[in-house]
Amino acid sequence: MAQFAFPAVEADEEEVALRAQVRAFLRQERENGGYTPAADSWMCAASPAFSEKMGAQGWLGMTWPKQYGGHDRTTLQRLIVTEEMLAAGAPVAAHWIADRQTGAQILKFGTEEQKRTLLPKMAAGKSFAAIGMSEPQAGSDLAAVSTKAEKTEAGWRLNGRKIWSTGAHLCDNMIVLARTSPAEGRNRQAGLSQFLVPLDAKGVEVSGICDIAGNIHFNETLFDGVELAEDALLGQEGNGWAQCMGELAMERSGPERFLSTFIIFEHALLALRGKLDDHGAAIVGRLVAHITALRRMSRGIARLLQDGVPADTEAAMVKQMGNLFEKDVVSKTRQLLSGVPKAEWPAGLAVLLDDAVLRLPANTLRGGTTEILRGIIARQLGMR
Amino acid sequence: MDQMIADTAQRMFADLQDNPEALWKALEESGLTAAWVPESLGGAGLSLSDGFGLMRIGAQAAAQVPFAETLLASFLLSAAGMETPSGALSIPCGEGEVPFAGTVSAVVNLSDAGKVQLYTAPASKQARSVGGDPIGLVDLSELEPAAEGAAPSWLTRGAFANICAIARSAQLCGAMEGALSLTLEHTSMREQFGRPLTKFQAIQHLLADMAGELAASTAAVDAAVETVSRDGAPDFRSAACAKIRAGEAAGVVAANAHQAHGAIGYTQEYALARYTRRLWRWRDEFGTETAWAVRLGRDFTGEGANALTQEIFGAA
Repeated sequence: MAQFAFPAVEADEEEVALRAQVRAFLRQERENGGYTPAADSWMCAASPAFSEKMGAQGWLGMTWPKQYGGHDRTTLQRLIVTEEMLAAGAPVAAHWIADRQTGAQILKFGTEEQKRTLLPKMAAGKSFAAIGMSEPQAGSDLAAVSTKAEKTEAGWRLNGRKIWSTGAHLCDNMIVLARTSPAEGRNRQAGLSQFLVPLDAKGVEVSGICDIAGNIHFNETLFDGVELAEDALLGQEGNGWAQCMGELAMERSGPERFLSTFIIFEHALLALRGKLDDHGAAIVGRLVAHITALRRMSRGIARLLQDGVPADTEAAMVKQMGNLFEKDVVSKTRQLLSGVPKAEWPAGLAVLLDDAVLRLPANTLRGGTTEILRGIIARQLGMR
Repeated sequence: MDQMIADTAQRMFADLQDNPEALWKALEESGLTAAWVPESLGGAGLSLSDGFGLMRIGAQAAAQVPFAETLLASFLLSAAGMETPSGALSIPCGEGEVPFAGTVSAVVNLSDAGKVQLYTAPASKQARSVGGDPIGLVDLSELEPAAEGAAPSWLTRGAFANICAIARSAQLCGAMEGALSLTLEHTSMREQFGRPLTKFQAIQHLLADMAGELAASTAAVDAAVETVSRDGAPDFRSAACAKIRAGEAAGVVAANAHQAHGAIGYTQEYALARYTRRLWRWRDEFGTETAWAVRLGRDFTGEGANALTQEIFGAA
């Protein structure tokens, strides 16, 4: 039977010092009106200016080698920064994807040229990247992608359409999963490749899609005969599926998967101090127990990744349970606050809560639906 | 834990799970029942962490022996510098109930005044229990202890309750692991509609959720065990998190295991209830998950509590 291992991670002095630095930075930013705390800030609150400040602090590309503009720091240290940013609802959306997965993907599969060209600006918080996986007819069934890249004399020609790409309207590049050769019978995972596509190339058209809250965060991107250089190929031709799965593991591995609604919990407790009966206290205690376990698992994943151990299923597990926890935070907060008049709520909580309710359906859809993630876990158990 | 000790224990529990008497004899002879008696008092002198690990292994075998109870009782006696008698022991688990009362040679209690009290074979009345292990009602106030000692100042009733909560949480993890294993085995073999149950998404999701609950519980228990190992005294918050998380998980795992098994899992003859009945019992002992959650919630929102970020992620 599969054992899901989440190794222990002790906090050390360096961690405490880094955490203090990040908190001090955030405090200063808030005091200077630098940002308004938001729930789900890694998806919904984009501020290129804030990203650049983080870059200047050395908090982007933390684990990348110094020669590419990174800081040779550990996965665990990056986790400290990201945890604090998310808990504070800081506007990290612009750089989030580039920092979380695109950079790592380029480091893993890119050529020396690609690394030198793209990574330094990402680490500086001056260049952003988007995810080009889902298509209108290929969501959970990602192998059904039909965007095609055909070889040309100069390189490649890309035709197709990607959808739901968060932040593409702000980004310079997108890693696009495309078919470069036919599927092998029923094996549709064969014949796929990844491409680094500059979004200002001729033939690329990014259109924002309005979500139910009336905001544009994700996009549809049309590729109409886009001419790409030979070196737009990322990694190996035909290895796109495996590369993509690795990228998804990075996408699922972080604390944003259970911290998106943390700020609501924190703000709500400010309103409830001294007003909790046993029932309310039990609700709070239970949520604390849940987040404690999730955090422990998340740190364990960071340690595994740091040690070069794949943690795909562990990441899927933490994301799946984390997403349910996020929803729980909102539903329990509503319960707890229903006896408290809005006039007594801390400033901003009503807006935070409304926004969170509007965004909740997306938590268990983005980055892999609950149903897909459960399937991944089941596979690890040997059931598939 | 030392791999050899773990392997020995695993084998012993697995081989003799259906023969409690033989199992107990083997456990005593190997010295494992004296895991928490220090070497200076003639015991195995294993760490608290090792003891919790052994409890989990024992629970995975679902054998009807008071292994955890004996360790907890001997822990109290040893802390007071008292000798641990031979034979199986137990401790009160709340509401006047004592697991395995009537079959153990002694019951050990920690009084409000900080006294460790040994009661030899106290009279008990059989109580109802959902768990399947015998539970007795014992009124210690009517009895004279055969021996008494002073617990060290750090070992308050609260501190001991934390240790017991972690113990039951470790056992809950063991039982959950047993239930998951059995359910995987069953669903792999049982065929309906022309294929094994494992091929159905609905079944896959039931088991995936079980695995997640077990992983989260294990994480919470590991964290709690580490605080005990580090500082000697158990940390209230981490003990509470373990008992809450494992207690809640136990309900999900038990329900899903029965659901995936169908009717056969609901019979006395089949092995599943050995796990699920204990899951339902152990989550109630030493405080339900709700009782612990009330206290934990108050601790996080009481006077002097910091902002949630600080409390959860640590001060900086």
